[in-house]
This record gives sequence, C-alpha cells and structure tokens, in this order.
Amino acid sequence: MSLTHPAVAVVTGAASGLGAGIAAALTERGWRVAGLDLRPSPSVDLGLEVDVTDAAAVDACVARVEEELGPVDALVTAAGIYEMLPVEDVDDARWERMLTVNLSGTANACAAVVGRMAGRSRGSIVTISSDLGVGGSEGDVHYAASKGAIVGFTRALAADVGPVGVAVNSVAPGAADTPLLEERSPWRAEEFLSTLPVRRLVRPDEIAAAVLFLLEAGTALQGQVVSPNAGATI
Amino acid sequence: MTTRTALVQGTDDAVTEALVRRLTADGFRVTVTDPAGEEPDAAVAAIGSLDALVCAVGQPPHAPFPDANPQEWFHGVMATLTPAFRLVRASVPALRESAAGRIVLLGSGWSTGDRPGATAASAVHGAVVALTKTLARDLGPDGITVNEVVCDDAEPPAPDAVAVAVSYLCGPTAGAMVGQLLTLGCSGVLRP
Repeated sequence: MSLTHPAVAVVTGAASGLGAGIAAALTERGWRVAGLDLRPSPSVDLGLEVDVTDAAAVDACVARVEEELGPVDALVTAAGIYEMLPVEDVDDARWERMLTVNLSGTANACAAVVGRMAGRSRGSIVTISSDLGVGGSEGDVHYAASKGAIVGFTRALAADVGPVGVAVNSVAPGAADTPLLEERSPWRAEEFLSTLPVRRLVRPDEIAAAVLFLLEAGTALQGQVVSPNAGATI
Repeated sequence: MTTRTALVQGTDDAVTEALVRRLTADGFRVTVTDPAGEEPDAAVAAIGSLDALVCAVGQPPHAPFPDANPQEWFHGVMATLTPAFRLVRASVPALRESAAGRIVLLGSGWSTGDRPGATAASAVHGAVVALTKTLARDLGPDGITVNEVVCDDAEPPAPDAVAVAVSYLCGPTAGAMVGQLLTLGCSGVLRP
C-alpha cells in the first residue's frame, strides 16, 4: 500500500495526551485527521464527540468521516484510561470499566473501519497498547490485562485482514511523560528512571513517531508490536 | 544542524543501496564498508565522527548438523558473526561522542530456528539478539540506542521496507527505542 496524501486518518482519544500528539503529528505530515473523543478534539479537520464504548455511535462517526473527508486510510486507537491499584482493590466495576474503555473501545473503532478498508484492500490500523501489556507490572493488573488483550487482538486481526492488504500493528509505549501519568506516580520517581538504560521517560513525540513509522511502512509489518519504552522492557 | 554521519555494512547489495538512498535523503552522510575490506578501526577512523552504525549480519551455510564437522561448523558461525561484532566495537568510541548515537543490526531474530539445517544460522542470530539487548543496556547511559531490524531470511522483505525501518530507528524521534527487535513481515515472537 502506498498512501497518496492527503489521506484521511481517524484518531480516537484525540482530545488530549497521546492521541492529541498523534493527531498533531499526522496533520503536520499532511494527513487529514478526524478526532473521536468524549471531549472536543483541538486542531483536527473534523472533531466528533463520541464515547468509544458505544459501537453504533463510533460506526456512525466513521460513516460521517468518510462522507466529509473521504475514505479512511488509517486508524489510530489512542483512547484509553489508566489507573494503578492493588489487585484486591480492583472491584468488578473498575475491572469492567478498564476492559470496556481500553479493549472494547479499541475493538469498536477497528470494527467501524476494518470492513471499509478490507473492501478497498487498503488501510492501516495502529492500536495503542502498552509495554505493561507485554511485560506486566506491580499494581497494574486490570490495565495490563486490557493492554495485553489489545496486543492479542491486534495480532489476530492482522492475521485476518493482512491477506487482503490491510495492515494492523500496535505501538506499545513505555511510561511516557503525559498528563495520564500523575506527578507523584512511581513511574516518575528516580528509583524507576535510574533503571532505564536511557534514564528518562518516553516523550509523546516519540510515540507519535512510532505510529507514523507504522502507517508509512504500509503492509511491510503485520501484527507487530513496536515498543518505544526507553529500555524498560528489552 | 551539522550533518550526521552513518556507516553501513551490508550483506545484500539491493538492501545496501536502499539504505544509502534513504539515509542520504534523511540528511546523513553515508559511508559503506565491506566486511571483507578494510579493518573496522580504519573504516571508522576514515569517517571521523559517527552518529549511526547500520550493520547487517548474514547467513552461514545451511547444513544438517549431525553430518557437520564441528570445527567447520564453528568457523562458519564465527565468520558470519565476528565481522559485525568487530565493527560495533570499533564504532562505540565515536558513537559515544554523538548527541544521539544509533546502532541498528540487521538480522534474522529467532526465525531461522524454525528451519531445518539451520543450527549455524540460529547460533549466529541468537547471538545477534543477545548482543542487541545487552549492548542496549550497556550503551543506553551513553546516549546510544541499539536495536535490531529482524527480517525472516526465508521471506525477505523488500529492500525499501528495510530502509524505512532503519531510517526510523536512526532518526531523532527513536531515542526511546532501546534494545527492541523490530520485525518486518508477519512472523516473529513478541519478546522472548
């Protein structure tokens, strides 16, 4: 697949944090970007307020994006939540909310675009998982499970639609310097940073760069997980 | 911004050409070195400063192990692996002086282990995986990232795909890619 610009990308979670950074990086590279988020997405060509856990609403948004901007060539699923809790404090409601937002939110967005992409034999999906979804970590059971689920989902979806020319890959960032990470998070502590080979958190622009790399690599990678993680998990 | 310099040691002419084209377009001054040519120290010294080393590791002869002469087998392993190691070793002092040093090894990851007659290749490429990860930890504090682009030797990717991956890893926004295997194609394990 070679993308002829201006191509259209849908970014979920585009209102803030990683999603906003990815949307901005895509715009800078000449993409036309539709942002899907609960809140208004700044600086996108088309911002749609939607809850990614609502499959029908997400599907309607993608239909509108195609009407207004044209065929969707890329999807980046950056909508997600994070919280750190010991396992015994993860009650049913917290477990369900984490899996619903992170996994079903990802699956809903993929479901909305993948049939359209497969029909055109063209398109690239990048899910945002997490280094913790591959390696796990203390106090991250429900978050890690949701992100590990995204990795498994990504690899299986790649196997399903790769043969018809749709690329599906994941970026699994390590702890990043974004608002999702509280000021007093242990991931910001010197004790953690000193264990990283490069001694610093991942910058949001480095995560956006990994996404752009995968989108621009077309179908050269399938079902792969690219992990800018500052060496947290090697 | 001063021009960044890259040293490329390839094993496949088409891939090397694609790498030179892409890295040059990225703004690197690129030098190609031949594993059978000059000594690594001399190759690095001739460039002066160095920001990125891209080093491909080839394939030793495939043969059923039970029939092999163990000394010849080992020689095949070392003849493939050692030139890469020596070039990396020679490059490290210059890369330490770079503001953003990059080492990208091109190898086969664990993929050769799935094939018959591939004990030597699997030994070589297992070593490359371990070298990548260990170097990444050792050199990270010096601001040098080390990663491997993994190509399944049985299903080689297009040269341009290799170049896109190397370009990304050598670029200014890949500083958080540390000790990773970036696998082209659809094969490969997640992270053993």
